[in-house]
Amino acid sequence: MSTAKESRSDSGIIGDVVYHEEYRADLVSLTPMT
Amino acid sequence: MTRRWDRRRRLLIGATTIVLLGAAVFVVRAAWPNDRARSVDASEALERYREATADATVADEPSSSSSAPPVDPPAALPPAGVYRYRTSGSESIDALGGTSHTYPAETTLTVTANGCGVRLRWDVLVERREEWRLCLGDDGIELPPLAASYHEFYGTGRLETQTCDGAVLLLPTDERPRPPVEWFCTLGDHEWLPTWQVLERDTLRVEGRPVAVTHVQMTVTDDDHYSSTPSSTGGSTSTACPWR
Repeated sequence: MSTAKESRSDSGIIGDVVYHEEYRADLVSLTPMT
Repeated sequence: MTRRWDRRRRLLIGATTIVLLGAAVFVVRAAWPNDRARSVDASEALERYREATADATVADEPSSSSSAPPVDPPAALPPAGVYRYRTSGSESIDALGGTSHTYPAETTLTVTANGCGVRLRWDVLVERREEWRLCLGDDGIELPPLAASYHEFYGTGRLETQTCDGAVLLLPTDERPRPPVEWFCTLGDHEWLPTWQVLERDTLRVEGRPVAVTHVQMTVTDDDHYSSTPSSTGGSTSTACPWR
């Protein structure tokens, strides 16, 4: 899964902020740990 | 005598100024909010998973007099447990001079049985996680209309709940692409309008083996609070775990 995200919030906990997130995540193993 | 006194006075003023400046720096540093980015170790996620499933086992355990046959979990949903993901990326905000969180090289996705399907919790950091569910519908695996995102900056956390107007089909059992579907949601206090689209089948490699997957894309374009949010995720029709 991957994403690139940019958002602006004027009601956030610390006021008017610009948030940016970018990531990529690849599954390592099909077998889960239990 | 006067010159000596003047020199003492200048020394005193200088020393006082230095002390006051030092105190001011100390006060500002102490009052300035600290920001952290702590990884969630796989062993922590596994411990939490085991505690949760132990509780669920006790709560859900049928009585010995029950004659109901055991129910197998739906085959198309991901088996419960903790999945490891090779991860890269970061998040940042521009508040208070700006700060960023670099994501660790490995993160975990915890899958637990929940209601009509499974609940997924992706722990990116202690300060950042995503939670959503997957259910088995008539036409395949669906994303129910309730999810949550957690963000924490400068020691202050916020859990934003996403509520939408219905479930959206993510992984059709017929494995055919679907046209884009608009979703009406609220995220936190704001309107949020993602579009989901089931794309083509593909093959990815996991543990050196080719595995058939279905690409699914979610896109948000909004000029208001969430100005531009293109994103995509992949899923397997055999496990429904996010892949890439």
